[in-house]
Amino acid sequence: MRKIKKIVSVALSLSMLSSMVLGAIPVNAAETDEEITITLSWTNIPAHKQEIWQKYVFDPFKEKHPNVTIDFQCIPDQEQTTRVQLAAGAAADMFSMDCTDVFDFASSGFIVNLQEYREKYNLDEEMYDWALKACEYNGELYALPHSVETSDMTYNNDLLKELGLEVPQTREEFEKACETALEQDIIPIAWGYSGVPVLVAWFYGHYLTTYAGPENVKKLLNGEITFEDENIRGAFETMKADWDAGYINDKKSGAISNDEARSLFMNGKALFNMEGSWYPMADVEVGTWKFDWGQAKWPSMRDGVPAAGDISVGECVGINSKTEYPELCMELLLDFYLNRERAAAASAEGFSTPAAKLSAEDYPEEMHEDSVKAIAFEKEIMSADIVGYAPWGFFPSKMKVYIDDNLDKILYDQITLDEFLKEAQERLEQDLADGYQFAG
Amino acid sequence: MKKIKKTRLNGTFFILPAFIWHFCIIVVPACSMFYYSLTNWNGLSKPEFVGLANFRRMIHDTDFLFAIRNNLIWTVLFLFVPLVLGLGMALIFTKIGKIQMPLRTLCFLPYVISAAVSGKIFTVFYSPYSGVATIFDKLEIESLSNFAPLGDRAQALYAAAFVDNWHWWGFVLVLMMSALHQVSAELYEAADMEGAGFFQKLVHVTIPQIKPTIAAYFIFVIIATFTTFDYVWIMTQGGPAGATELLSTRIYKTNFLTYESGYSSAMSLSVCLFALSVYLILNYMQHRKGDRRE
Repeated sequence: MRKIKKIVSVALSLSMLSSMVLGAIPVNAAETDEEITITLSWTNIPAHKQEIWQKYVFDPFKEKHPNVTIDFQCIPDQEQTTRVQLAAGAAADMFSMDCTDVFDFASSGFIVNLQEYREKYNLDEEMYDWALKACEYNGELYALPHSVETSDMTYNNDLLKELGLEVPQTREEFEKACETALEQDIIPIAWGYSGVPVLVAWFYGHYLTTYAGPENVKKLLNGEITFEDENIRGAFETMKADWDAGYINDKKSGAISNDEARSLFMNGKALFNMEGSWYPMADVEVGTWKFDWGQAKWPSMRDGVPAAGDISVGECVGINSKTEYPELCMELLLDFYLNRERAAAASAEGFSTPAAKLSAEDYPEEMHEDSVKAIAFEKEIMSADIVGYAPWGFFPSKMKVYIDDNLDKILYDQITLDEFLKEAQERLEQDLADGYQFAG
Repeated sequence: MKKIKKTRLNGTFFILPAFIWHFCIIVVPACSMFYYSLTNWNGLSKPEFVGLANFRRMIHDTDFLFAIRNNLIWTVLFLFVPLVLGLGMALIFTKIGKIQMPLRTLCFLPYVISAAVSGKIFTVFYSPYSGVATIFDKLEIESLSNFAPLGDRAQALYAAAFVDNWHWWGFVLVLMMSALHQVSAELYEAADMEGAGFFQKLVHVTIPQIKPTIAAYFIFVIIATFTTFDYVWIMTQGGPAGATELLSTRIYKTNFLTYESGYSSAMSLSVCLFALSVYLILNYMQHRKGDRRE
């Protein structure tokens, strides 16, 4: 009896051990009867957007390659997860990322150099050059821009008319609009960042562009001037003054989420919203807004600096340097991005605007008027003589992370502007020392 | 003797797979934290040895020091508020007979709601545009019509802690009730015969009898509050302006937002050592008291 017990216990523990070891051994791809699976990791997008991916990106590709299965993984905190997976050597074949991460990923050898594809597929002709440039490391392409967007001002025209106001273009008009709204118990600018601190980038992005001006921002990011420069400092001072005056969501932005700020705007309780093209084009379903709305450049915040919108790459796609199928990955992406008709149709349905240069003729004839309006305005901003650089597309990583994490400390008087600017400058110098190059 | 050895050997065989698993995914990463805390690793590239620089930086890092302050407040709140509430209600519930069960279930209910759900629900309650502030506004209570605790630096930490307390205190109630059931009725009878009042019985009978439960609760709370993360992350992510920043959220941000994995390892290590030392001190004190009694 004792012997049997002993044999059983040894057999059981060996079986547990062997199942553990066998479970850890990957299945050889060659044994899978030529079936190939490509994994694409993306941020957590709603189901209807996943359907657009399926319809316009995956299904047409699957027709050409029936043996390829695309595993589209939409995960929360995708950016952080991807970093951990990359470090562990277990990331997806392709993944979405911020342009600010291209430097880190490329310098660490985690993403494939796409320069040869850039030349092979003539990407400079097909896609926005500034979008491609934002995905470069050491002058070579390391990621493919997925979407382009503009950051501007969305307004409620019905409310503006009701208050006897025009769309503001100058600082004076902006102040007048905000003061009039406050007098009528209307929120001048709806904006909430509770739970998502990176959204402060919309806020300071506008003020840097329209107070300091894009040229000075460029100089700052090239290390030619510092945060102490009067133009840069003035941008933050004006921003803080507007916060203190209650123009920005009655100083309650830290208490509400962006969704709530959106609902304030949607329900006619706010005059403006500080989001950009992604808001009417991709984040709300067309026809949701039941009022006359429009989009405009952010008003000039001081004389001599014109009203302007910011341009940016929404996200880009990197190809894992450990993937067995870099060619297939690239084919999958370009099969969509370079097919203008399909890219435009997806965009009209609420997909982000692809970085490919689409013209008005590429879009489907029957489009909702909201989409037509939003696309037209986005084109207008992108082709304007003066455009700003949205922080999430062009700013260096350490500096941006510091500003995102600490900007509200100025708003809440937790730190002084001097301290803030000094720290931001230190981070910028670290980024420049690490090899950051402004891509605008 | 031989039989004991064989039994131990058999037991070891059964434990071995789980132990190997635990060793690989818990012990090895935990030990690697020691090494990474001495480097400037960014989570991707090859780590460079920087000695004690991360620990020196920590001493001057105002954000980290502020997170420690917030964590201490959080710990104090969790040491006493749920305990007083839980014990108080447990004392009442033990006296109210049949109705006790539904009331106890009602109080325990928040504990089964996930942190993500309750965090989101309370975010709505705290909103100045859709939460309780709108009720105050309708009631024309002007001083409270602007109630927006998550946007107020002075109130945000307490507002988040309130939600965690709301979630947690039902469990403490059940814990205290089970401890109270262990107290011998004879002790109360003896106290009654001596003419002891409610507070005298509480101080001289109840609390001494449930002291082991309270001590275990203290140790658990101290360790748990230094790793608490969920409510603050869901409701504020440490904002506004760092007002609700806890050690765990600071460490998370340092690792996953600023990508300073070496520095975040140093912070994690400090927190671990602190929690461990608190545990050891409390444990030592408990044993010393036990020895004295013997």
